[in-house]
Amino acid sequence: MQGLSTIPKNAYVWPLSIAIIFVICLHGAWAADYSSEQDFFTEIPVVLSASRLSQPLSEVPNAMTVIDREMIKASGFRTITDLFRLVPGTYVSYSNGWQPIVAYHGSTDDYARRMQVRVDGRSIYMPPLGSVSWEDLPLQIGDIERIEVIRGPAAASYGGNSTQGVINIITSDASAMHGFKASVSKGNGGIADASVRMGKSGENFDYRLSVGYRGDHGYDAVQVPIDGYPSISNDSYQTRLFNLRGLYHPNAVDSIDFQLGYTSGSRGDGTAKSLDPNSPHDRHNNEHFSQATWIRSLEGGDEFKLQFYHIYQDVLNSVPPVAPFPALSDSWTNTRDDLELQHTLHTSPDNRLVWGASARRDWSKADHKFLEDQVLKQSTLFAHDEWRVSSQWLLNAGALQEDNGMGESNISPRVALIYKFAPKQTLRFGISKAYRNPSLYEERGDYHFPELGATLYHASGGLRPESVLSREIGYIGEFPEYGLSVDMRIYHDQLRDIIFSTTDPIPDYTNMFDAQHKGMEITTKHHWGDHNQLTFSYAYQLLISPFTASANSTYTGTNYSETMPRNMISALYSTRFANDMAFSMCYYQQGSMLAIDRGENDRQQLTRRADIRIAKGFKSYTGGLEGEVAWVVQSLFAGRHIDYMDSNLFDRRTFLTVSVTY
Amino acid sequence: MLKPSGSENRFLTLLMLLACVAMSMSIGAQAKTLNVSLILSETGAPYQQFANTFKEALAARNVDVNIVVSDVVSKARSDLIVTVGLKSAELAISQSDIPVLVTMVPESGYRGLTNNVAARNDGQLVSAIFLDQPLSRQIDFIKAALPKLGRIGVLYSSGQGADLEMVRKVVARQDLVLVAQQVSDDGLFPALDKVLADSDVLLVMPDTSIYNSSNIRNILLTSYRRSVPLIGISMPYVKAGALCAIFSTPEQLAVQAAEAVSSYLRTKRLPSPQYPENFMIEINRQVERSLEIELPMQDAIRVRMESMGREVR
Repeated sequence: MQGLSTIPKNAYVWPLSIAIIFVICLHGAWAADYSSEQDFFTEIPVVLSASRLSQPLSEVPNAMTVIDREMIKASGFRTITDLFRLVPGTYVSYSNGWQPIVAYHGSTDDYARRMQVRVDGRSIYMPPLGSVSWEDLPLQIGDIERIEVIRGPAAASYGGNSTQGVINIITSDASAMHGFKASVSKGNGGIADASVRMGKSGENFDYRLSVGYRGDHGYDAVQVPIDGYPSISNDSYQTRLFNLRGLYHPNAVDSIDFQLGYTSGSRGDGTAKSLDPNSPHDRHNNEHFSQATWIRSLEGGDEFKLQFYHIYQDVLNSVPPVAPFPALSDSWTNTRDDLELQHTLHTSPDNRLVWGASARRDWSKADHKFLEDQVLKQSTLFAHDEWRVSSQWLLNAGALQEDNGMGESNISPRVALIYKFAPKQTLRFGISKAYRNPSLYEERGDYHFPELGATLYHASGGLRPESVLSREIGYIGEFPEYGLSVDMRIYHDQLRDIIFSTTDPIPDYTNMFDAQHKGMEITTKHHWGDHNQLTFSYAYQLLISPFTASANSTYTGTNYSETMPRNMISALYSTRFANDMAFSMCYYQQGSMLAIDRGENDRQQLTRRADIRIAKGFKSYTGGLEGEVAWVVQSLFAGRHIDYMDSNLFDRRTFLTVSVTY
Repeated sequence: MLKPSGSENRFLTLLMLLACVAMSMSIGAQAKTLNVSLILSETGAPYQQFANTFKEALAARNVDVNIVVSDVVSKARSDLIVTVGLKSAELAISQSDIPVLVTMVPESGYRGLTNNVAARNDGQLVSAIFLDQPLSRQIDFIKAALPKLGRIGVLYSSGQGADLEMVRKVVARQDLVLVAQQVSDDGLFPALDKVLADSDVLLVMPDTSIYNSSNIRNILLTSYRRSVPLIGISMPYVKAGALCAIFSTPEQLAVQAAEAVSSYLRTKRLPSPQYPENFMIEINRQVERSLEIELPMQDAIRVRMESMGREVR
């Protein structure tokens, strides 16, 4: 010890440091190489939280159609709205090349106001018209993870305007995209699309980003003379899109999801008909949104969720002068802010309660559609409960109380009883009531052009919300031994106070008529072999009402019962071959019908349409780079058919898509 | 001189006897008290739970437990070191030559450690109680919980290839098929895509290069999207969204470790490295419902596993 004590203190430092470095290096090497207890004890963020887990079809309190990524790809569709052709009982058409109509069970007018549409919980059913600007939505079809379409009223869960159904679009998670993907499409009718997307996942931050371009010539592709004038429907469009989604998960229980999106595009509008002040021109539409969702996972699968979003829409519509008319302007902007909180809790192992509240402010500035700026403040309070009475019985009950901001307050209740009478065999009995609030335009609109000294529409106000009382019996059966599942329902909906336009010298909206909708829907899914998949849907529907649109210059007395086809079929078959080849074929059949706000000339006869998609994947020899070439033909066999109105003639479209992934 | 009387004689004998007994008792006590250093790798909850249970289980025994959370093995001389976690195991094996019972370390971590370090320290008495479950138990569990599923997917990295044949054999014993996919330089996702395409369940095999914090989230999401349930290895996995898992708690491991120490007290020998005796079954019922998979109750799964164990053995 004495000897040691004579050594200067500093002499320890070097050997000690070396020893420490050695130990650290050694430890570092092991930590990387060998599994440690950390693999077992480290907290993992709650990934599949209550709001992310989808309910199995057999436990959803409504009939629901799910369109997943595989189906989206196999369908060959470029636009989101076309996908709804796969939903039984859904009418998909276009009032022009960039303005789709999606109507489930009627309401086949150009704004299709009776379905709620949400993207990741963000309602895009917008004022002032009460419509969805599908083409302005900053979302590319390739960023969609799945779409759930609730068939039938679901106001108890989704609030006002869910009278005929709800479209829930779920986009892919921030972490779902890794690496880099680019794709280009080119086809006839001016089809030109391009997209680039990339993404990365990290320890507590993931993001994906996509930019894209989409455009075609709409129905300009087919020129049809109308009333002796060459039709220049002028509905070409180009859209540029940007979408960013990020997820920050700082710890095991919190996650903050945020999204930003932007679209900008030109939309052809106007006609070359003489004496039409709406001369050919381009509209310029912009839309952007931002959204943030904070989810806190609680014990026992409970969850707290707070969501805020902001949407801004801007339509710049300046119509150039055409003799004898002056230049016109019909521009408008729309702003929505929405805050919602939701708490999911398990009050017992057999009982789950979801409750929450929301507040929304819509602000429309449309000088030609209203006499003043419109601000609408809405709020909701909701709760629904899922009680597993026994292993066979499940009771879903819920209600939503809504203040529509226009002096009305409604309660929309829903009860569904689910009976699992045998393994994988389920019956559902549901009854619900839902309301559709009049849109701002229907209630307060005044469509006027002082330049022309004309008022095209004037709302006298005082509308009641439309209501629907819906009853249904559903059956869901799975037969795994045959690779088969069946989803079937019969329904009876009593609609009251349907709001429709009068034909007075200056049109107005009134609660004009009641109607009954009855029918049956069936979807079967069958898979066999390794890669064969067939989804088949059939809808039979009866619309009953004494209502007949009174004859005026445009609409020559549409009978309500024929505003939807009585029979509709859709089928999607897809298969894959060993050599990275994929083939899919879709078939759509729509019975004769006449859209509710169209005239006899616009009648859509029985329409049959088949689309095919053939794709071949490839890989670079060195690996890393993968790609696919896909060829799509829409309306392969049939000739031209009418979409919504006679000037919209759909002819065969074909395009080639090349995509690479790195 | 006074001769001692018979009664005095008896008294003295008794005294001597008593003294002998007392002496022998005190000597015995001194010889048998075992000084155990319990070295925790960290201060977190699992280590504390282990320590508390361990101390409690040995309270009635002749064992003096000295708990340290340390990067350096205590200089105080002990008879036996019990380590909790990989870090303390590494320190104890590399820095001391007294017997070490390694606990709460996965088997692969322990093997790696002993192969590298123990070689330098030949003759040291080292044994272990692993944290992970024996593969056969996991496969029994999958068979008992999900009897209709036939293909078990696993992901492995290049370092693990050698164990694969053993895994395949164990899986085949239950008439199941192993779908093994190596995660290569292309990254996780191509491998994940491939394994999910062909599997009914994805079984987690602990491997930091695959199941690390950046990847687990994506593995869970992707497998859920493909409706392929993930079989986890711990409670955090089940909470995060794995369908189910079997695992041993720190308390269960501590009880087993205490038993090993008691046996060391008697025999001066450590039992050979062993898997946990007791385990928990945890099921995420929300995920179960969402994926429309019906699992039996935990107790029923356990009973089925026990009957399988008897058949196989």
